[in-house]
Amino acid sequence: MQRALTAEDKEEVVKELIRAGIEEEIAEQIKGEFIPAELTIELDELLEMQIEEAYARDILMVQGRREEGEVKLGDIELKVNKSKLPELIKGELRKKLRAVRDKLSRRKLDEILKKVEEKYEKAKVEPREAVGIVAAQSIGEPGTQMTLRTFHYAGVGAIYITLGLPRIIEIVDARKKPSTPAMKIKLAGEYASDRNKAEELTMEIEETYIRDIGKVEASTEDMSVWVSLKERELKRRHIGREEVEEKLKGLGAGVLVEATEDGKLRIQVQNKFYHELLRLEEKVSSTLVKGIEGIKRAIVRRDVDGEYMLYTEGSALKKVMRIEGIDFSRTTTNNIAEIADVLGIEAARNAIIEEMMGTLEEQGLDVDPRHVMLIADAMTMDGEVKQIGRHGLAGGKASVLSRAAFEVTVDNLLEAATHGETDELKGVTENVIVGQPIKLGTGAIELVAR
Amino acid sequence: MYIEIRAVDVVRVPPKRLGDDLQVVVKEMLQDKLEGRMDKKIGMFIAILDVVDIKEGRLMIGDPGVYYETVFDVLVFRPKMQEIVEGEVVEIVEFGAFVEIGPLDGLLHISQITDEYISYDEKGAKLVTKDTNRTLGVGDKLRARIVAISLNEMDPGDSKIGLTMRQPGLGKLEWIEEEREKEKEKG
Amino acid sequence: MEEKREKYTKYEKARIIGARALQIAAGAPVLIKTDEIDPIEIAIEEFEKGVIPITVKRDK
Repeated sequence: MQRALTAEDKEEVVKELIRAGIEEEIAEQIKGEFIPAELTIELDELLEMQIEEAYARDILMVQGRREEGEVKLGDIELKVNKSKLPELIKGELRKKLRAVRDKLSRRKLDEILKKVEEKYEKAKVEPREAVGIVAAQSIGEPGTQMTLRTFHYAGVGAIYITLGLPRIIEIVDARKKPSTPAMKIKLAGEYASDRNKAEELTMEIEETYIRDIGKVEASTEDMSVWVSLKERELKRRHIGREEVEEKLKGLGAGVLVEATEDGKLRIQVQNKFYHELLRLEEKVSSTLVKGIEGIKRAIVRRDVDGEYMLYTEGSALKKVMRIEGIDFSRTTTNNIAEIADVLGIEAARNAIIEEMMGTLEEQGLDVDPRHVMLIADAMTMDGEVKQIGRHGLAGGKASVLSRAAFEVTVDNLLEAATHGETDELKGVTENVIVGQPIKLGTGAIELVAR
Repeated sequence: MYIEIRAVDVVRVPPKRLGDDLQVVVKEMLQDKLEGRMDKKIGMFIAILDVVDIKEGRLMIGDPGVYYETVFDVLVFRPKMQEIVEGEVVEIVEFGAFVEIGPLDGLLHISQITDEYISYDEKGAKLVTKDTNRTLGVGDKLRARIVAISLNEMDPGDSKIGLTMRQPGLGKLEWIEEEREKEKEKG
Repeated sequence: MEEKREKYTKYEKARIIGARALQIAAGAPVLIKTDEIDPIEIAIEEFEKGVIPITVKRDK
């Protein structure tokens, strides 16, 4: 059954397409080219079909045409789908080709696809390649150009973050805590668009001790600690006097807190000893009134998308994620161990990659992410973050000779001897040591006469 | 005893022979490698009879030759304890006679020839029994039993096989015939 | 008719040509007509023509 489609019919199809989740722009384009006058199926049928099916049907129509002529959306879809590329590249390619579609001819499209496939094949690692060595060299060489000791700005305000070689070493050593923990906190909803709201949040998470909002004095005269709160600080940080009083009362049994008329707070010591007084003074001044412990400072910045976000000095991912107004799905810390703890090992793997690539890029070094990914994989493959070194990857190797060749030779050999270990000579290092061909590159190839 | 066995071995085909018929080359290589060789368990390889199967060839790093695993039939001489053998005397010495029993020679010690006392005739290169005056010299054919085997893999010719004839039915072939005649006469 | 030839990795290619060149250098008969005298060059030419009687054993 064939019939010509009217303009209204086409409109209806577009509406249907949009309803099915196709972008409006694409739906419009489909209307323009995909729904031709000589539709071979009924409109109702077309609308009933799954959208993918409809798309496929249209693609079939494209197939009958000759080599020349303008490129339709279906061409791109069809050709890209047929190519031997991974899905991610296909998606990107589709998007890019759609954008330049009017400049393409179908022959050009074929050529582009061929080139992309070629490039992709070339970029692939061949079997038996010594990827570990290449990764080590590819990070090691640029590493020589890195600054040896930098405590750099994070590009924002006055928050210092360890960068350069020390940071790389920190990551690779899988330290429990980085030397300068820091977070990047993305905000949700109106917090992201309103600077004042964002500023409010900084007050919410910045750790605030009594000493930050007032003067703490120990008086031997009446054996009391006097706290004079600064009105300005209280206002700025949205802290009420009662709140402070509450916190101080929570200090422990036997502590007497009273507010005096001139706005001061008096805390009395139970035992009237001088050293008790000093200890109380210390305790009072380091009482957390507000914020999250560990977040020393937080500042508001505008990111590239114009969103307000927070940078912090200090890190406390678990607690920060609970704060309202924070988009925890986009919030990160540079503490990899913390990420592994809170979000799991896969997140830690990603964090290692992000942190290393970030550090390298900050130094203006261009390293293929696959090298870094390999390192991250090697560090995390056992389900916990392991350092690359004698207490992690290198120390956990199965081969005695390989371990002995790395560090502390005698200890390793002695330990292996007392346990009666055997070396299977399966790895690379062991075979180099005993002078056999290694199972890598040409050495791993077994030839057979035909 | 001679037996035919099916064996598996790896032979190296040198690069110069790579263009030739593999069946022929492999057989030749097997002959070069095995014929005349001794294996304590198997015995002495006499002749490669037939190459049954040639598996795929392997190439080693730094070696231009190709190594083929092959299945083949081979004729083996394998002396067994208590085996009865016939042979010819090839040498007479003071302490006995050497008897050729195939590719190897066996030693028939002077004490193992007969129950009689035997003396050594140096001039005639013969062993003579004291009472019946029977002689044993080079070229005599005899039947004996293997009583000792000591094979040498490194030098097959140095292998030692001990024989005895002190048993009814064994001895120089003529003596056996004589005994049989005597038995007949007795009826 | 185009022969369906296996695709080799660079390591396999190097190993095959290397082993073949060694054979040729050691006196193995050359399988093509060529003016080359360098065993490696001959092996490369043989490889390109697909006549080298050597393949790769791959683990499955």
